[in-house]
Amino acid sequence: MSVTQESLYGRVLDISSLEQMRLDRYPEEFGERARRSLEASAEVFRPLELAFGSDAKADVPDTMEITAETVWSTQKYGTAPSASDLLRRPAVLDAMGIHRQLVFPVIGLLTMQYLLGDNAAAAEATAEQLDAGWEAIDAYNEWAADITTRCLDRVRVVAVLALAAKPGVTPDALVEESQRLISSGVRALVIPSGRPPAGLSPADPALDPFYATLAEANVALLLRGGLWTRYRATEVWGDVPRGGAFPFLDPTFITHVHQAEENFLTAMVIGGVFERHPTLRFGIVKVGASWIGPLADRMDHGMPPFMVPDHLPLKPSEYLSRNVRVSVFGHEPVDTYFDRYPMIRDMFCYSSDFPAHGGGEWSLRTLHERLKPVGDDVIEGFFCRNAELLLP
Amino acid sequence: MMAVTVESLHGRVLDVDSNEFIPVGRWVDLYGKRVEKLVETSALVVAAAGGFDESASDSGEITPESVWVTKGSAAPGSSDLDRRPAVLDMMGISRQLVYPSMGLIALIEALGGLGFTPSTEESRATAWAALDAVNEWAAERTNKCPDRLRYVGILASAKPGATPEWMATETERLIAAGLKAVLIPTGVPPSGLLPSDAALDPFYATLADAGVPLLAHPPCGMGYVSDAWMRLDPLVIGSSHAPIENFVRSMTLGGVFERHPTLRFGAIKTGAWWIGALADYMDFAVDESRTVGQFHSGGSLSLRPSEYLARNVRVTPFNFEPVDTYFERYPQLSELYCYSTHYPDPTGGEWSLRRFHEIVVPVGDEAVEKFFCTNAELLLP
Repeated sequence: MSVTQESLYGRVLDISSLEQMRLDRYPEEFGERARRSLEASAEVFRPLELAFGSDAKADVPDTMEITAETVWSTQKYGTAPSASDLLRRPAVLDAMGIHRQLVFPVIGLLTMQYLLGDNAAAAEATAEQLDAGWEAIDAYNEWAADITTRCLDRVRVVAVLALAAKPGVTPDALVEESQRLISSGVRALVIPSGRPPAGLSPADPALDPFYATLAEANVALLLRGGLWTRYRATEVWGDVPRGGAFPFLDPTFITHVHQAEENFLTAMVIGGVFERHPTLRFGIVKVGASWIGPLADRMDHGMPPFMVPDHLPLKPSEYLSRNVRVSVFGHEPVDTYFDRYPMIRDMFCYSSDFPAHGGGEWSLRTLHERLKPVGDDVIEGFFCRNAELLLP
Repeated sequence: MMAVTVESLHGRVLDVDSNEFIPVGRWVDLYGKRVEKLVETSALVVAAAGGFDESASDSGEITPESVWVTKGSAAPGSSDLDRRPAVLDMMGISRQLVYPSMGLIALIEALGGLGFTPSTEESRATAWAALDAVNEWAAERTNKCPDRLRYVGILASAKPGATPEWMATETERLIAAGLKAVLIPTGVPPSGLLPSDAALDPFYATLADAGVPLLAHPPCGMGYVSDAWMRLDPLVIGSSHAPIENFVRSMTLGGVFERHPTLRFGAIKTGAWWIGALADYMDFAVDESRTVGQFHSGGSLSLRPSEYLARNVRVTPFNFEPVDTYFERYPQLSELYCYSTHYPDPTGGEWSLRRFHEIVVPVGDEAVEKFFCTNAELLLP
């Protein structure tokens, strides 16, 4: 065994991390538009305080020392180094041995949720709140482009394409906004998985110019856990007693977590999106990977004699392998996935979830230990090679 | 040496999924005036379902070819249910669950209709009322031949106004009438509640105490996915198993099988590709040595989720699924997988017992015995 943890150092690609900025820094970092949104919709951001306690509002600068302990273990959320000050993130990556990282935005994701009416705390958002929210999204995306431009080789902050689910939006408008974001410097876009994009099936040819825009620019299109609302007809299914360390989390996370994304991806594969856009880069993060192997099997088998996926030149699993990447949760038995589903071994990617608690402590070490029995090539693929699709 | 041959199974096989295909023209005679309006409102749904041939007569000879190859209303025992025991004799089946086709079509209407023919408030009310007629018929038929044929009743748990108390009382009534299996819509929260809600405990206890299985079978999952997606994907190709996955998850992690250790639950005709991954994920998610806190069961479960599944749940793979792989990949779930014919629905395929036997035989005698005979005892006691 030659691919040791040490030999990975400096070469690891990480497809899911966060900014974890304290609320009181929003105006400073994102400007006046973010301040207005924060003030107009304080209830939307209250769950952050529940989740992160005093850290969410602590008025301390991002000066925590960058050590192996603080980046992998002792510091999470708002107190972790570079949680707020993304210009410190490259130094954090150096300490973690990570070469390049996708960063998802807490403010961007939360704002997108309430703009779409998907945040229970803001289901009845006023016109003023919505206006402020759309402006905040613009401010956030400008910040994402700025950080990405300044740290291009290391940090790719994901832009939020909330417009994809805005009522009445057209495919042309999606293309136009995507082109604008790409021109500004962003290298990855996230869209909601719970709603049909522009009201259309993800496989609708009307979306081809949108996919082509991304493919031609080598910009990754992403789905991320937590943006699945409205996939199900009712959210009563999530109405379970909260508890534990994450009182705001829906415990149906365990199964609901991948259903909207599975539905979205199935439509793309069977509907020929990856056949029409062979260089499209598509990633699904923070929903685990337990479902992707069974889905690949199911799509490859079809439902003979009633439905056989022979209308496309490649097998569905071949499109998945070529065009799609997924992250795994730290507790998942990813070693068994490589054994069971060798045809999609290129799909599985490492993610740190830094600095959120969900990534666990010393996640790189834990996953490296778990993958040792599967072999060097798998380790190399999982930590370094596979994610090149999303972090070119 | 391989001992459990197709021939050695003859007469011992349990079948947890079959239908009747009584032509629509006979529904009013059979079920009464309560279904007159349903016949009118569900014509398009019936046409879409296929297999109902008004001109077919159930008088064909009962032969190996006719029972394993002929489908729909032309198959023997499809509408003359008095002939079904003889069909089972020919197929080598000891006992069978029969889902009433009229009831399933009524359920489609009641749950909103198909995308191209959505139901109206009036047609939904008509459909819910028709289920009473179906349940009476199903109980009567079960009482005629309970050792061979168990007709499945349908509980209107998604009906407007349904309450947990009504669900328990209605289930008691259905069981008292003679029903030995009850189907529940899984795409809509039962009486507006999570399946794991403790308010449903009297309902589950009623079933568990009576040894009567609770079942899900298409179209039970209707209503789960939002209208926006249903319009785009009416065949729910992207999400066919999502409702049952959600329902089983809620029951398991919500402690239903902990509180009702003898409850019998069957996920029928939704395939089996999803259950292994769900079992794995639930097991890892509640394993406090692996997770980071948010998924813990809080110590309310005394068994691993996969152990509840093995004890309380059964599923039916389609005959194009790699069932042999499931047995090898998930040995802890080897009690879950059950044979089903879909008789006489075309989805069952031709010579399904022989086909399934070829798939499972490489795994060994024990798996063959479980798959065709012993696993389904939970649902056909």
